[in-house]
Amino acid sequence: MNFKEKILSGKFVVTAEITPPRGVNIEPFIKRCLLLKDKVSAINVTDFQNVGVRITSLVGSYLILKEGIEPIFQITARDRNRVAIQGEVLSAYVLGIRNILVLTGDYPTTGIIKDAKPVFDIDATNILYFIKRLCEGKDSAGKILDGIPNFFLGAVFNPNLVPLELEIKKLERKHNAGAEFFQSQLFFDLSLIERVREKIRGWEPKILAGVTIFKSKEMLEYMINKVPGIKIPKEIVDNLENSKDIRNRSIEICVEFCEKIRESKLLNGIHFLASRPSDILEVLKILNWEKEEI
Amino acid sequence: MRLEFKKFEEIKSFLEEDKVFVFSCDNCGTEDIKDKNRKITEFLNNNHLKILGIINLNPEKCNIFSLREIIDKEYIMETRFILTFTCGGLPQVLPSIINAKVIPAVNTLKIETGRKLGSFARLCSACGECWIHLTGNLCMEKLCPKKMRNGPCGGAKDGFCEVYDKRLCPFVILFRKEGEDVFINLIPPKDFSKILLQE
Repeated sequence: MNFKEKILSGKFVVTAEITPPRGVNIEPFIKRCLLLKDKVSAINVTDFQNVGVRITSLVGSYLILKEGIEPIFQITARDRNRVAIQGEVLSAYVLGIRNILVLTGDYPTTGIIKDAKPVFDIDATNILYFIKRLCEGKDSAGKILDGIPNFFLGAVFNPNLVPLELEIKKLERKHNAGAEFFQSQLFFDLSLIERVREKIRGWEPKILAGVTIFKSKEMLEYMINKVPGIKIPKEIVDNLENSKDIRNRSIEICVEFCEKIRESKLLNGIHFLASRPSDILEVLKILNWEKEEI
Repeated sequence: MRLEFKKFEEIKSFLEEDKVFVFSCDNCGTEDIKDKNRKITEFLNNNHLKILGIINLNPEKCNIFSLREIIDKEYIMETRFILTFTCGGLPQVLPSIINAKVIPAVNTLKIETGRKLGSFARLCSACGECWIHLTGNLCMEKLCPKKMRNGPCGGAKDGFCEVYDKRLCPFVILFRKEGEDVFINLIPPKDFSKILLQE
């Protein structure tokens, strides 16, 4: 079963994001991805994460596909216009990539290459809509495609957003534009998802919960101060900061939350954000979710 | 300043009756207002709309104090629908003064800097395709750094913008102002060809 079949059949799935290399040495990237092979259902390959120059998500996705790992190709609105996005998406299909996660992208000034001109020609919702149109055989100008792609489209969902009802409306709009699954931003409060489930009537969005393992105090501070859209409750921050070993404590917290998520039946899986594969494996081992078919 | 009339189909669905009040101007001194108003009348007549009245502005009158005075004297309070044939600045301001649906009837293609402009002109980003009637008369071109069209980007913290952290996300303001209804239909991407060839 592939990622799409698993998630649509109602299985609880695990995914993780990996960042492609900054530079042309791809070995460490492949190695990290191979550690997760058969342990997670698919790996998201980030698209110029943190506004930094890296190998593209397209190439990263292709490299892991060649290793027998199912990629989720990420594409953002920040660095490409509608021409480049549609071309990139068609290219992805030719390379065998079938899952796409569409994001808006962080603003350049919040990341590494602050002096870049942001594109934002079309927003994430319209990217989804354009890809859906490609899957129907037409590009955004109405030109007929010779050979039609077919993708499993995903979008992001941020339960931390205030007011949550606004983010739910956005989720519905993304769904109408073509999104079939959602991967959430990092969050710690399951009652937010309860509210989402109560509010949405007539369909049930497939949502994977974003979780992470903080490997160090620096990472925790970075996530709090630098990453847009993240809100870490004070008790979790205190809990981590007061522990002797942040990583170990974070693994415990993550395991506990993953169990809660699964028991709650509110979510369709887990998505590990910004976590080291070795740490992810440790969490999966403790959870006894090591085999991909969980 | 260069403006173009919108296609009537674009604004038609927002009008629930065939009577409108019109705000016009001399495009910051670049167009003869009589000539412009003749075109407006023709446009509205062709589309079977009755004009309740016209208020004419120029750069000297294009500020909040003058506007209030003129409205007190010349505006018809029973108006439910206003069409603005000005740049995108005025339709952003009017809803805070008048209780009526304010719809921009023109697209602003270009605003020349350096020339004397009315004070509302600085609110218009001359984006070529005014869409503020879809977003509670908030100009997302101006207010949203990412120019989002279909809701917030997801980067806000407690409702504040990820880029300018002292500013509320304009979609949060829109949601509080207009509720859920404005978030139902997909707003398609902007047509940049409108402004690409403006010399």
